[in-house]
Amino acid sequence: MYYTVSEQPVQEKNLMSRQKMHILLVEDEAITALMFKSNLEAAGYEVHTPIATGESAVKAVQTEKFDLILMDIHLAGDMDGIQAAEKISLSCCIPIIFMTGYSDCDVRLRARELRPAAYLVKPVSLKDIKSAIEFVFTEQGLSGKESG
Amino acid sequence: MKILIVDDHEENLYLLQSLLQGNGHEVFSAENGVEALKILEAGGIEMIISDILMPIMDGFQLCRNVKTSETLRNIPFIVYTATYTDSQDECLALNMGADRFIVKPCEPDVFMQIVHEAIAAARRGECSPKEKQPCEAEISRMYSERLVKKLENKVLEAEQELRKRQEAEKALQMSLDEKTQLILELYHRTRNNMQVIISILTLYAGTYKEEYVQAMVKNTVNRIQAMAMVHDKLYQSQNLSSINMDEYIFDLSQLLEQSHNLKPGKVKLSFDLEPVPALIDIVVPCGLVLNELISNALEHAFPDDRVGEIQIGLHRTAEDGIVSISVSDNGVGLPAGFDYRNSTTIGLPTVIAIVKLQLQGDIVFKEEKGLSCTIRFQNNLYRKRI
Repeated sequence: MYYTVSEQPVQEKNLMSRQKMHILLVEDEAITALMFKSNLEAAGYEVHTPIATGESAVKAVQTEKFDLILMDIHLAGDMDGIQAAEKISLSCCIPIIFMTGYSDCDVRLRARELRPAAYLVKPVSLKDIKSAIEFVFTEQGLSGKESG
Repeated sequence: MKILIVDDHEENLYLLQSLLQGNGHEVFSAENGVEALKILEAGGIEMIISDILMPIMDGFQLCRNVKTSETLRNIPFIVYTATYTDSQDECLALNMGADRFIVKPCEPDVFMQIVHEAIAAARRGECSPKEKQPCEAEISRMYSERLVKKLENKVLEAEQELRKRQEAEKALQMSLDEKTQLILELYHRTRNNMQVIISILTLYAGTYKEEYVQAMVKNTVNRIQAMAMVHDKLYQSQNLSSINMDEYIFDLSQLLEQSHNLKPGKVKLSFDLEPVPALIDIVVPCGLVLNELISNALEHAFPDDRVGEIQIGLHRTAEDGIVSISVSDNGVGLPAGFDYRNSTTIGLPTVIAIVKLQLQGDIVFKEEKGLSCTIRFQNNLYRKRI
């Protein structure tokens, strides 16, 4: 389900550049994480082993470089996805796509303050997520030229 | 004996009347001091039993009027009160000329004994006001003091009542917030579970290469998303129980169009949607039906390079609350010899079952410039629960 992303289908011209795109997936629902990881890898992205807490996500971006973070909001641990994204944004500038079962105003407003690349409301299909990622890479100029 | 009872509470009058009549007295009644004075003017009353706190003219003023009247002053006056009950109240009443002061509630035997004593005293001529009474100014001062005191007590009671109400209101608000939070959390959980189901299906589909498996998974994911969208709308609605079906149908149609990856300009969706609020019990099955009908049109009505339009309508009749939803296309129509009633695919039999069984409505297919399907049902099939 789309809220802030374009509806453009996946552009074939970007297929090559995906080899270089490193994605951090923060999702505490194991099956969902597994589905996104395996399908995004099949589509040519490089996906880090899924992380289930905000705290681990903050640590991960300190030790590794990512081009994009797919962030669930309701997470295990004391920190939710928005708090984790806020902390990450203080030290580095990585586009963030929120995907969450929450679609009430309070959560949306909190998320919006961080200017995420997209806010997807679960259930999110593979097609939704691929379009959102592609949109981010196109918008952020992360085409084959820049990243490869 | 003719006794006048004065009280602004009907139940009190009834009880006193029964008690006095039972003891052989003739009873007259008034609801305040002014009414009592009118009855007294008519003459014949031999005793007065009066409450104090009454509208228009209270018992103190009535007592003062009676005991300063040349014609009425010898009538024995009994104060019977539940509000002015302390010793200063009694002192003021007696200073104003009252003969007895009784605090409510009083046992009938005790009450009648006091009444009979007062009657006996009156017969002995002891009910006339004392010669040496406090002056008028002193009585006025005492009366004002009693009123102020009473007023203070009433203000105090009101303040206590207000505090209690504020606390109750706070507790109610907390309870309401908690329930709202619970509902939101429940919807969130539902959506997460839908995500898990979609994830499982997608993972399984990845292990198969056959096109029909991919198509089946895609259709199932669309159906789940149609139901999930209802929850999304509920989140956004004010009352968390009913949603605007017109907005839902519009968004669902857009979602389906996107999920079919059609060439731009191949199929145009047009809408004629009236605002219709409906409960989740109605919207979910409607979403499933629309999912089938619109998907069918998108997939089969415009084969090859054919372009066309799908019209989606939502109307309701004001008189009987019947809602009709239609999906019409100007495509190729059904294949020759195709009988939708005996279709072997799961789609149409599902639509028919949902409309007839779940919505208790009817469904009509027409083949004119393509295929058109209209479903009709009562919008009041379910009662509002929240």
